[in-house]
Amino acid sequence: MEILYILIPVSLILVAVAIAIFGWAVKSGQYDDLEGPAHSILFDDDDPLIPGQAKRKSDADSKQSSSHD
Amino acid sequence: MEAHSQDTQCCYHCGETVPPGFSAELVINKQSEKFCCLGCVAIAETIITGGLENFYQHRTELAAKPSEFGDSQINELKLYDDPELQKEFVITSPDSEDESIANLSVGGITCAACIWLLEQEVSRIEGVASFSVNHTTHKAQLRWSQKTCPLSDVLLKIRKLGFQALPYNEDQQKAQAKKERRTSLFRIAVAGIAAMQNMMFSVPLYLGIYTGITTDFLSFFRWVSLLMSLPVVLFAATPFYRAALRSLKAKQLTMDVPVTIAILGAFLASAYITAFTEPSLESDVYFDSVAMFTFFLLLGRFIEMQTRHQHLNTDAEMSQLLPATATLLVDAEDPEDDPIEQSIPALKIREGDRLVVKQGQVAPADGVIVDGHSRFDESALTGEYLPIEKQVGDAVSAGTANVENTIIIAVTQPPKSSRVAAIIQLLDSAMADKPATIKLADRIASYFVATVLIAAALSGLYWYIADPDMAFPIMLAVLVVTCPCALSLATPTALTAANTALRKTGFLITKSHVLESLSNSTDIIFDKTGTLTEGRLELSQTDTYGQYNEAQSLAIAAALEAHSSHPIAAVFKPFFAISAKQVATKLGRGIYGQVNGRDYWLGNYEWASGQSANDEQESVQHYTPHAGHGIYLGDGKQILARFLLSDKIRDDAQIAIRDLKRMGMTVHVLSGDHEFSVRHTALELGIEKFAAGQSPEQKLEYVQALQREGKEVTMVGDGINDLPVLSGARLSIAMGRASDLTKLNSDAVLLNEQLSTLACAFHTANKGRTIIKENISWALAYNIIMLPLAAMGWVPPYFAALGMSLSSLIVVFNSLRLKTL
Repeated sequence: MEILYILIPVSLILVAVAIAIFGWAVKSGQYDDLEGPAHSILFDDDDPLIPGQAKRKSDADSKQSSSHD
Repeated sequence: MEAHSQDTQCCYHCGETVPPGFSAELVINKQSEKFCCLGCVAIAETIITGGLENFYQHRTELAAKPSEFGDSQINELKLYDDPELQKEFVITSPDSEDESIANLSVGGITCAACIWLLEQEVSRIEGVASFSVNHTTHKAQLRWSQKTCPLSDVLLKIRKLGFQALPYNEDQQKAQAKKERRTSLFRIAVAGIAAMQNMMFSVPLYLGIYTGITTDFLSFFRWVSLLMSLPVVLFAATPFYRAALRSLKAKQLTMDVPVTIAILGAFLASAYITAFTEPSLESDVYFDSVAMFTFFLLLGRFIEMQTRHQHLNTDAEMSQLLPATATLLVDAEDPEDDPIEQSIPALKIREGDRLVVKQGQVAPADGVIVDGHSRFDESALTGEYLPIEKQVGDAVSAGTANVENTIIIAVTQPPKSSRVAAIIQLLDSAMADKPATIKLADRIASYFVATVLIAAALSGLYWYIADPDMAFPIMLAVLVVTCPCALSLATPTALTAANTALRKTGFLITKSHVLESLSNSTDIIFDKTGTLTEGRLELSQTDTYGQYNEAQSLAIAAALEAHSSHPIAAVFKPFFAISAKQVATKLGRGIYGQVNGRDYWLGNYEWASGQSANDEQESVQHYTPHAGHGIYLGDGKQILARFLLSDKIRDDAQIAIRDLKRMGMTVHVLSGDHEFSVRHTALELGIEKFAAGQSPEQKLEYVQALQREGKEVTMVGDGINDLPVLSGARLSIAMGRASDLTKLNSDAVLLNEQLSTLACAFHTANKGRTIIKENISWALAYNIIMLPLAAMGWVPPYFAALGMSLSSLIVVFNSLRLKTL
């Protein structure tokens, strides 16, 4: 059971890393909008993945690509 | 929502009724859809050409009806390209010299699909690097290149989609608030992660009681737990310590004091056991409880803060009441020429400037009319629901809307020292006088803390004399056993549950004392315009005196009014069926026109009948007495019909007032409107106490006088003129359509504008109060029973830990009962 004397300090280091990463994420503003991502995932334009629609979509895009990079 | 818009005549974009005679259709998602105005059509066209018609499938709320948008508005937006003005809100990106960053405040967002639409469309503009809108605050961050695309282009694009975007300046205070929000989120994470880790470490400690554990490991796990709870005690829980210190300095014992004692007491006791006693199962440590307790309390406070910010625009400022730009009249170089109109930012308005205020615009500063005549909607400032006629020499207040003709005003007071600004200053002083609501929990906390401290000291003293070795451990046991976790959770959990339940019914609580103040309330005061009434004119009665029936008279009136921009004209819009010719308007009197080849006059009595006004006095008595505004239709010789317009009382006002009275509440009406219409409204609703013609100062005085008599006053209002009285009343409730500033300074917001929800809120408040009392009684009972046992040294350590968690859980579950109303 002496392995615990190594494993537990290791777990403490992992926790410290986790807190540090979370702190960085909060600081860089990733948690400023807690609602948006939940909605925006629903609006992702995933229809080009369906072959038939993808063609139509790319046709439509090429028509009005003047303002789109 | 989409389904019903197809079979009824509702606008596909904003959901308003399509006016008769207007026809505009577009094919969207292979179906022909109708629109109510050119503005909505234009927006829908922009959306479709952008290939974003999915917006209509994704959205969960109808869009806001767009405001009018013409060349003058485009010119105003162009102002924001001015480098000097941009200094205030645009910064250069740290990554690249070419890239600028601006914060925008976006209005008109109704649901998540709006944000999707905005982000898609704006990101497509050439030169825009990124554009993202925050769902909670409706603030957007724009990164773009000034060279390829001026800021006004972006603002214009947003405008074309039916939203309004204005630059928004993040001042120090807001930056501070943002930082605090981030820090509190980080504190929650630290407490949460530490709590989870601590629970893992305490498993061997608990299991050790049954299976045995070597003292080496016992000591080791205790030390690790101690280490793990250090960040909680030293960092995550610091807001509680600071609040406790503040309350001690103010010589008050609030709930933060027992919370601090609980956290520090349990931690220090456990640390003492770990460091200075022989590791044995006879004593126990509470590191996991400390971390978990802190985590729950922090989480509760964060959720409370989050709900408050979600529905309120915390950046409401005076600038939102006043336009950001103004049209200045500058003399041309050649005195022969007409003066030139020039758009300037409102900040640059000086005393003596001549400003053009067009129809539909809000006056940017206090001034006197020097040219033209018009009517002004002053309802926001005075509560008057009818627009006031203004002529040369009359004063115009900043924040009032010009509803009729373009006029020129000479500025007497720049925006910063206008009447609106004065009202807002009054607000601050009213806030300072507001009677403090001492929360039930805080009151109990003060007794509780005193009792616990005295008991701990006494038992310590007794054991010091009887058995000095036992004195310290027992004193610690007393402190731990009486740890007021359950007591601290009693109120916040009940409040959160009640708030959630009330929010679903349309009543948003923004301050923590609302539930208690509601249940204590003795007097409820309503504003009239916009609160008891709907705040807009409606046709209340039509009397006919000539050969035409009601429908015919209305059709003629509608034909004439179709040529007028007066607010009264809107009332007749639904009856529009035929058109009028040769229409002429005479200001202050009425309209003349030909309908089906016959002459008609619509307006005041004199205008319509061709008789002098004296007769009207007599004939008014001859006709039925009325409240409201009478409009007459005549053929120049006699009156054909009379239309009575009044501000309609809300449908559920009658029931709401009756319910409130039944609850034993005294109901008052306090309005800035004329005596006559206030009296009429009050009598109709059966309210005996009313005061009319009240200025914001008088309203505040009225409420303060009541409060001095010992009454607990609840004020319900909506206008800017209600601001001081709302902040002066013990409890203030703003209507959902009130300005952001009013909502921000109120304790609660009636989001659905249904007055009957108020009675429901009072009911929930009473129920919430009962549950809080139950929670507190339970928590106190538990602590009181355990206190003497601990003082005798009879409480085994594991039982103390179990009891601590169990008493908290009972409180939480009891509070959850409030969620189901």
